[in-house]
Amino acid sequence: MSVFTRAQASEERSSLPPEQPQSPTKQRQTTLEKALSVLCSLDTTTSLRGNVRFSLTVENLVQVAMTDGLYPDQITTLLTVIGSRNPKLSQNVRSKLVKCLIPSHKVPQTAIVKIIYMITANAVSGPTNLHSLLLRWVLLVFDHLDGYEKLHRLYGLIFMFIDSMRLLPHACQLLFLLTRKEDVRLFRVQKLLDLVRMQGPEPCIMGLLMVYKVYCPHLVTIRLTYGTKAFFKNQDVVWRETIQTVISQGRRDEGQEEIGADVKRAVKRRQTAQRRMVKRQKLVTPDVHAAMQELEEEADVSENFHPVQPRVPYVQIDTFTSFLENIDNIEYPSQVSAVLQDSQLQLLMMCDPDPVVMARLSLWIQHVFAFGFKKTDEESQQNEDLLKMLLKFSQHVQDLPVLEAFLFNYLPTWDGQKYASVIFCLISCLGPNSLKFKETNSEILHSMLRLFYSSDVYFKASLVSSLTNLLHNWATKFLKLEKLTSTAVADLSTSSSKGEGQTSNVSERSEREYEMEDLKQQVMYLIKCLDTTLVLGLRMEGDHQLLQQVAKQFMETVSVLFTKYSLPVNSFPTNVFYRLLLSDCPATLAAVCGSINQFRTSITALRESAHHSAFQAHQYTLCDTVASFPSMGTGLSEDAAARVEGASRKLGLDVFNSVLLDLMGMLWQGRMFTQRKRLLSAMTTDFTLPKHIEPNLYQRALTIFQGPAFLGLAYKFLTEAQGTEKKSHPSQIEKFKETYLQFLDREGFPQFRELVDTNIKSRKTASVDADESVRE
Amino acid sequence: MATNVENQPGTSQYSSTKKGRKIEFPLYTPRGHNKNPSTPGSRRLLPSRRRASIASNQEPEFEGLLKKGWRVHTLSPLYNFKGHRSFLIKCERSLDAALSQAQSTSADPLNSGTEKSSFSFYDDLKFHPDDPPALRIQVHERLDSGVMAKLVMEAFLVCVEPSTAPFSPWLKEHFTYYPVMLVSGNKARSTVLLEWLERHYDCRSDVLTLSDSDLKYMLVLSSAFLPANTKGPPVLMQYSLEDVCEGISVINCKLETHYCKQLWERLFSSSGAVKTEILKDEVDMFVSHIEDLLEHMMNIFFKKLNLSEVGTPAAYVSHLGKIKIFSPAAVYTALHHLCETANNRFLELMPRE
Repeated sequence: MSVFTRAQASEERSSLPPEQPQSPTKQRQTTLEKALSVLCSLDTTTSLRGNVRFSLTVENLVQVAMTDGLYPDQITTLLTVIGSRNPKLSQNVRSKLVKCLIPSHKVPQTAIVKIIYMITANAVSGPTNLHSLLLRWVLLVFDHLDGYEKLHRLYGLIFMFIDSMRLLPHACQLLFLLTRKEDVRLFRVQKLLDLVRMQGPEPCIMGLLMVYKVYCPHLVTIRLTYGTKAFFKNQDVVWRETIQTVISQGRRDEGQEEIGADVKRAVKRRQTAQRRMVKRQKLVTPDVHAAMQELEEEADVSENFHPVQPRVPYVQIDTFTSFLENIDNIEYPSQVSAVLQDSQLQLLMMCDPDPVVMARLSLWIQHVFAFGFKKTDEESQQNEDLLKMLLKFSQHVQDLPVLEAFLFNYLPTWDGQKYASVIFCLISCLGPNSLKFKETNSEILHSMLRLFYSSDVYFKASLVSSLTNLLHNWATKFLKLEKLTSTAVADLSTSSSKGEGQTSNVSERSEREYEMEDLKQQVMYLIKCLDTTLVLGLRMEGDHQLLQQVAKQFMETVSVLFTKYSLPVNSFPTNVFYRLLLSDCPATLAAVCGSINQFRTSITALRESAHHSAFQAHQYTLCDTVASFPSMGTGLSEDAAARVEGASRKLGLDVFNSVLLDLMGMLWQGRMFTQRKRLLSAMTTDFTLPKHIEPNLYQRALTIFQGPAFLGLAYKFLTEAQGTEKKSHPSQIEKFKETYLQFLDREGFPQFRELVDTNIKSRKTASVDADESVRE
Repeated sequence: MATNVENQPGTSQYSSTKKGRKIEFPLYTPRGHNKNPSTPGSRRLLPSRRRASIASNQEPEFEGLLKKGWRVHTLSPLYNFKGHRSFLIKCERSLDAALSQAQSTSADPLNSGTEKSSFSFYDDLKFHPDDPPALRIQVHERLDSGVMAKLVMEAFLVCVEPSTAPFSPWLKEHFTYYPVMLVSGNKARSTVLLEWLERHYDCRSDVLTLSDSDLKYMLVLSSAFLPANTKGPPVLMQYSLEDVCEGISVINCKLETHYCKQLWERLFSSSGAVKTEILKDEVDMFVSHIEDLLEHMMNIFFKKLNLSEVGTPAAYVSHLGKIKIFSPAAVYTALHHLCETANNRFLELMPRE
C-alpha cells in the first residue's frame, strides 16, 4: 500500500523538466487528461482516504470540467470510472464526479446506454442515490444527445425503473420524453394504473399516462384533468444552467450557433406541444381515437370474404407523408367531432366528402346546441371556442346549415355582446334566403334590426360591416354559380354535337339559372335593407365617422357587383349616397366620388354586355333602392315582366344621371340640387326648398373649395400658394380650380379629378388630346 | 327481439362523390317516424298501436323500472349500433374494461370489487314496431369477500314513439335513435357509462332538464292514471322562487288526489270516449284551474311562478331531470313525454329548408 503525501508531490513537481508555455485552455486540457488518466489507473489496492494526489486530481477535474466541459470520449471515460467496482471509491466521490459531467459538445448515446446498464446491473441490491443522480443527469443532457435510437431501444428496461420509488419520477420523465406511439401497450397502461392505485395519482405517473392517452386514447379511458399543473419538478436548476452555459460557450468557439438554435427550437416545440396537450383537455370537442374498433375488429374478419384494402385508422397516421399515402383508406376517428380541431382531418373531409360522416358531425353539433350550449358564465369560453371552431370549419371545409339553425334560435335572445365577434362572422356566412326579406316577420332580420336600433355605434358599425361581408359572400357565390353554368353550357354544346345526355344537362342548367335569379333578388333586397338601415343609423348617431366608414365600404361593394363578381345588378343606394354627400369629411366625399365613378363604369359595362349578349339582355337589373326598385315575384307574364323591367331600368338610369348631376353641380359647378325638380316624380318625396330660403341660398356653399368638408384643405392650399401674410378666402380658389384639383390629387384624393375628368365632356376630350400629344 | 342495423356504405342515394367538394346536406326533410303521428304540441296517453310482442291479456310488469329514482339523460343518435347478441357481448367486455380502469384510479377504498356489465333488450318497453327495442344495461359488483353480486348501476335506453325522426330515412341504417336514457347509480359509474357510449357510438349525452311547460304536461298526463281510492299520497306541485324572493326557495302545494282525479274526469272524461292524447290547450286549462284555486286560497300569483317539481301517485318528476315512476299505467305516458320533449328540443336546431 502506498500513500502519496504532500512531500512526495512537491518532490515530483521539482523533478519535472521545465515546460513550454501553453495557452490557458491547452493547459487546462492537459490537466484534465492527466486527471482522467490518474482516475483510470486507480486500482483496488490504492487507498484513497487522505490521498492528496487523488484529492488534487479530483479538484482539478471538477474545476476544468465546470469551466470548459468534457469531450464525448472524456465523458465515457469518466462514466467508466464512476461505474467501476472499485470499493475504495466512495459514493461521495462518485456523486462529485457525476456532478462534473458537463458536456462541452454533444453527449454520446453510448454514455447513456452505459448508465442504463449500470442501473440494471444492480438489480439485486436495488437502485442507489447515485443511480438516481445519474438518471437526473440523463434528463439534463437529453436535448444534447447525438441521437435517440439506441436509447429508445432500451424503453422496456427504463420502464422497469418505475418499480423503484427512488427512480420513479426521473424514469417517468425520461419515458415521457422517449415515448412513441408504438411504445404504448396495454400492459404498461395497466402497470401505471396499478401504481396509481397503490401510491395515489402522482403527477409524474399522470404525466406519463397523459402522453399515453395522447397516442392511444382507447387504451387510457380514464379522465385526466390537470389544468396547468406541472407533471415533473424542475430540479437541478444550477446544474442545468452550468451545462447550458458550457455547451453554448463551446459552440460559440466552434461556430456552431446554428445547432444551438436547433436545440432551442426543439425545446420550444416540446413546450408548445405540452401546452397544447393541456389546452386540448379543456375543450368540448373529443380527442382523436379509434375506440369503435374494439367492437368491430372481429366482425370485419368474419364478414369480409373478399380481400379489400384494409382501412387505416386515423390515429395510426404519424406523418403527413403517410397521410397522403393512405388518403383513400383512412378511417375517420370514432368521434368525428374531433375533426373540428384537426386541420389534417378537415383536409381529408374536403378531399373525400362522405355524407354519413357529415351527418355524424351535424347530429353531434345539433345536440350540443340543443342541450349543451349552457348560457352560464363558466361555460362561455368553451362555447366561444366551439363557435370559433365551427366557423373555421364552415369557412374552410363546408357550410354547416346547423349553424344557421343555431342563429335562428340564438339571435332572438342574444344581448348583442356575448360572443359578438363570432356571431358577426356567423352572420356574414348566412346562406341566401335565410334573411327572408319577403316575409314580414323575418326572425333573423327582425332580431338583428331590433338590436341595431337599440345598441351603440360600435354594434351598428359591426352589424353593417358583417352584412356587407354577407353581400360580398353572396356575390362570390353568384360568381361560382356563373362559372358552373358556363361550364355546363360548354358541356351541353359538346354533348349536343355528340347527341347524348342532353335532358339532365338542360334541367341542371335551368335549376342553376333559377338559383342565380333567386340569389340576384336576395342581393337586391339586402342592398335595399342596408341602404335604409344605414341611413337611420347615421341619423341616430349624428353621422358618426365609424358608420361613415362602413357606409363607404358598403357603397364600394355595391358598386363593383358587376365588374368584380359578374352579378348583373346595379342597384344604386340612393339614401346612403345623399346622406354621405352632406358629410363634413373630405375622405368620405372622396370615397363617394370614387364609388360614383365605379357605378358609372359598372353601368356602362352592364349595358355593353347586354348589348353584345342577347342572353343577358333581359336579365340585368339597373335600378336604385328608392324610386326604381323593382317589385319582384308578382306573378306577371313574361312579356309584362320584361316591360316592367325595361321601365325600371330606364327609371334607374334617370335616377343615376340625376344623382351624378347633383354631385357635379354641388362639388364642381356650384349649383345646389337644381336637378331636384326633375327627380320629384321619380323619388316620390315631397322635398322642396322653402320659398323664403331659395333666393338666399348660396349656391357655391358646398363646392370642393368652399364646402365645410374642404375648409382645411382650402386653407392649406391658399397658404402654400400665397403665404400666411395675405388675407385669404376659399372663394379665391375658384379661378385656380385646376391647380386645386392637382393639389387634392397630391393630398391623396384623386377621386375628385377623376370624377370631373370623366363627367365633363370638354375635359374628357381635352385629356384625350393631351394623352395623344404626350404620345406624339 | 333485436334490431339488426348493418352499415352498408354506398347503398344510399347520397353515396359520396369525389368530383365536387360540396356534398348535399343529409339532414333535410325529416319524415314522420310513425304512420299515425300525433297532433303537434300534444302528448299521447296510450300507445298508437297494440303492443307488438306482448299478448293482449298479459300486462307488462316493468321489472326494475318502477319505484326507483332515475336521472334522465338525452342522447344524440347512436352511430353504427348493432342489435345482435354477439355485438352486445363485445359491448359488455368493452364496458367492463372501461369500468375497471376507472375503478383503478378511484380513491374510494371500499370500491374494491370487480364489476361486470350486462346488455339486454327490454321487451316491456317496446310500444311501437318502428321504435328500436329498449336497451337495458346493468352493472353488478362482485365483492372479493363473497360471491353475492350486487346491482350497482342500471340504465335504460328508450325510444317511445317520437312523432318525428331527427334524420332522413336513408340514414336509418346508420343511426339508432334513443332520445332518452334513464340512469340509476353513482355519478362516477354513470359518467363512465356515458363517456363509453360517446366514444363508441359517436354520440353526445346531456342531462335532460325540464321546463315549466314540460312539468305541467307531466302533471296532467300522470293525473290521468290517479288511483280511484282517496287514501294515496297527495299530488305535489312545487314552485321555485329562485331569483324571485330571498329567503324562500320553494313553495310546496299538496293537493288531495281525489280533487285532481275529479277535475280530470270533469274536464276530459265527461264525453265517455277514451282519450288518447292531450293537447297543449287542455294542459293549460287543467293547470290554470288548479292555480286559480291555489291563488284564491293563498293570494299568491302561482301563474307567474315556475314549477320545479311535480309529483302524483303515478309519477314524480323534477326539473333537474329526475324521475320516479310508481304506476305501471303511467310508464308509457311518462317515457313518451320525455322522449317527445327531448326530440322536440333536438329538432328545434334542425337545419331549415
